[in-house]
Amino acid sequence: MAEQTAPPEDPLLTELLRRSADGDRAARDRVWAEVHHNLRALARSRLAREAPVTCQPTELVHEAFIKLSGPGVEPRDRNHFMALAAVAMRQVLVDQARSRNRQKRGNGARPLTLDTRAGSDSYATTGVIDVLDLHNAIDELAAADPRKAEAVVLSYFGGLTDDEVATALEISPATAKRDLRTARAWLGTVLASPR
Amino acid sequence: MAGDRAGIAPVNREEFHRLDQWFQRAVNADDQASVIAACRIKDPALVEKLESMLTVDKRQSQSGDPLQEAVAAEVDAGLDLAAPERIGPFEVVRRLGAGGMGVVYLCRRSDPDFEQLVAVKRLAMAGDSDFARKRLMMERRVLASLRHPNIAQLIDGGELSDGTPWVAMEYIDGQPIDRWVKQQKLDRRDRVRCFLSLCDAVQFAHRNLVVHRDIKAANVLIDTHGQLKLLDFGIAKLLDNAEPNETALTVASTMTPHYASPEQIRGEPATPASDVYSLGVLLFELLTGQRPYDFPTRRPADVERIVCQIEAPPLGGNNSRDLDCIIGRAMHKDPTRRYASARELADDLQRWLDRRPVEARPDSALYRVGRLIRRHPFGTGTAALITMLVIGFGITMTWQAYLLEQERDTAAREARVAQETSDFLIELFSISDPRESNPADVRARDMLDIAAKRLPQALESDPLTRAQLMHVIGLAYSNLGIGERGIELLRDAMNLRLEHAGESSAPVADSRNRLGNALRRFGFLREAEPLLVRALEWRAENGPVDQDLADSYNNVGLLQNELGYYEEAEITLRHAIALHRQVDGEDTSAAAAPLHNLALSLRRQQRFDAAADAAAESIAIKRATEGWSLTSLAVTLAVLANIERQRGDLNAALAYSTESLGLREQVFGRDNLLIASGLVTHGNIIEAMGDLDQAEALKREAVALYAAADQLDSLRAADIQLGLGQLLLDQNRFDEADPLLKRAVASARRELPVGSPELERFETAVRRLGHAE
Repeated sequence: MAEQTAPPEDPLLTELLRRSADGDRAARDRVWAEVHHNLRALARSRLAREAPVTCQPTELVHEAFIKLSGPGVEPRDRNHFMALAAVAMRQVLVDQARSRNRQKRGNGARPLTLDTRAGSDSYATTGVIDVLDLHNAIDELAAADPRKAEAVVLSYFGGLTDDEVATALEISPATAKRDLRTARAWLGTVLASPR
Repeated sequence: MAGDRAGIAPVNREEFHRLDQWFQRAVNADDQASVIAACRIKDPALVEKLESMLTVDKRQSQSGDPLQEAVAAEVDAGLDLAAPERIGPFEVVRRLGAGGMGVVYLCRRSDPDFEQLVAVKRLAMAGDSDFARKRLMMERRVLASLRHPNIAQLIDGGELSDGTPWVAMEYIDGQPIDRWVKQQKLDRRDRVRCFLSLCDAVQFAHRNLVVHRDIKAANVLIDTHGQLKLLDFGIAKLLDNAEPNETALTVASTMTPHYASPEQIRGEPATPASDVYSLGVLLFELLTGQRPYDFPTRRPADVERIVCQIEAPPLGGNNSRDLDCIIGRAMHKDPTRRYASARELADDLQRWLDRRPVEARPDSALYRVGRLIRRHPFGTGTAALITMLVIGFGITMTWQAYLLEQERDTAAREARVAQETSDFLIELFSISDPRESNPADVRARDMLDIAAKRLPQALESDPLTRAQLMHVIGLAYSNLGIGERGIELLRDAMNLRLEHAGESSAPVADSRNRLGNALRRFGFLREAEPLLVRALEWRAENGPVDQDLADSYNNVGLLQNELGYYEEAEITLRHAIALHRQVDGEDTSAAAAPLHNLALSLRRQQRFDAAADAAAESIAIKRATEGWSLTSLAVTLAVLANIERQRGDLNAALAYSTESLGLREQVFGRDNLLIASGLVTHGNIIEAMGDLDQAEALKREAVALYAAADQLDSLRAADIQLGLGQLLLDQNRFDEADPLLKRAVASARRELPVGSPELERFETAVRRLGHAE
């Protein structure tokens, strides 16, 4: 059974992905910029069309992937892409949180707080944990154990499953599970302790 | 980077590594406390961190990771940056949140005199046709008229310049019910009381032909005055405006699967019953703090499998049985078996609060059989095996080796059983004298008595062999009409097998099937039901697709018929026939038994032509096949005789009945209980032909047989007494009919379910007595 694949819409990106996955840093930076740009655009367009808006990072990353990749993307490239997208997602969200904090300091307006929302699937129970705190804690973790930090970024910001994390980092699924479990518990402890 | 928020201490690489080691040891250890103790001695600086990590880990594995949710919340918050300034006449204050159907904003009506806060929802509507718009307007009008203290009032609605519809609702400053009951530390009874006002709101909407379709904790708020408010009739749809295909998809894809009923998951239109289902889920959540199902993925196939097939777990805790029943009824997979309304659910909860008996009951065992058939058209045995085989070659090999070993063990045991059984029987035959010219049953019976007496001494070595013999002898007794003795032996055999082969085993399923059938045969339907159904369930899940499985379906089908579930019986019996044919080929003689029973159920459904065909087919097989005994042929002939009588062909009926009675007399003699029903059948035909005296004599003879066996209170005797009683009623001999019918109806009420048409036959006759008085 011959598999018929249409030529990718953007052969450049597919090619970039492949080169990036092979270790080409320049290619990697270009893919990164592309992904970053697209995630922002996606988030904005979601608002514009008022489609279902409960955005999980997973959905955005997957949607970005579908948008960016042609049909000829290999699984290896897919994982590579997801890893990049997770890093990009982290950057997008941290930028966004910082900008909101600046607004808060600037004009004194009351910022959106999660625990006053009602009438929707709210994350209010979590309330106090800020993405910026998480971001900083992950940096600390990276200082002690870079691989665990990378795994947790893929999981939190890329929405990758444990097995996908394993493939992306080229480690065994058991190791990935182990890394993630330690990392999550450690981050949870650090962020829960009073500061 | 660290400038955003200070305070996280730098981590020592080597120390982190040790912490990781301790943590992994602890989470993988059976005894976590001992790992912690070891850490306290060897690495005391880390023990505090280790303990808090373990606490966090436990919480994360139980109730999810709040960090994951913080990220998601930030993603969500990002979309707020470009909120509109105005929606219709309202000024946007801030975004409240987003749901499947659109974004909700807190808005203010710009009016100098008073400030009104409202929640405005921009709807993501799929259709923007004129028709869709008109319908939305109409729905808005209906929703605006829905005024109830527990429903957030719809205030206004309209369209943005780009055609996006919006609705403004009363703004509720409150928190979701699940969090509220936790925060208030309400006990179970208070949680149920709180839930009742929600039922009230839903019932009110249903009465106004509005279905909510998205009841969930997040849509039920308790405001600052403690008042419950149900939000978001945004996707509610008028009942009389049903357009299943258009809207169902939207619902299925946007609503959270936790509260969605099976029919909504399947994309069918939501009904009030779907709201009752969601109420059940929410009640479960309020009482346990958890939702009934986990969804590891949101793949439609997985979601459908979980929602449509898996039963919600029990609540746990003390005295939860009634609440389990109530939730089970509200969340029933089959909408027609749920509470008919939110009011009925509320009424049952009120009964629970008042400590009165609730109406919800678990599904009867027989209901489960119907589901088994729908789920596994041909049993699960093969499917499970196929799954095993495709898992992988390695496993397959191991599995085959295991099967071979099992088979060898079984073969060895069976050979031993066969040997010991035949030794035993040979010995038996040498004791009794085969030349004695007594009737067949007497000789067999003597032999069985001797066998039963010798059993305890023989074969002490192997309890399973002994159980097998007891089982066979028990069957023989019950086939000879000696019910009590047969049932006792079958029961002893089952207990031996339970003890030595284990609860989940083929011999126990065999025992349950046979004992259940013997009990049924002698009229103990209530006791028979769980045994027969459990045997069937075990075989459908674990056993091969074989004659035993078909036999289980056959026995259950017959029981269903005798309880008055005629249509269900027909389905089960046709399934049994199909299985026999699948296993042994189209012309298998084994189909004769379920065909006979199918004739019975069709006759009860007044489908006499089809019934006659089934009976004739069964008779043809029984005549042509050596394996079928004359008595079983006789029984089917009697069925056909009954059918012909009811079809009006009395001559044919008489011919079949005469042949049947003759055969039974040959085998059993005239004084055996097993001939009694034949006497009544014959009597009914003679009665229809006009010879009332002879009919009465035959029926009295039948009753006398049960009197002689001291079994007038059995369900089988009830049928016989009913036959005679009806004949007496027709002649206005009420005093004679009275004791017969009263005794009969007592047995029938004992064994038959309320409302069963089988029971109704007795009740009708008793009512005729009453009218005469």
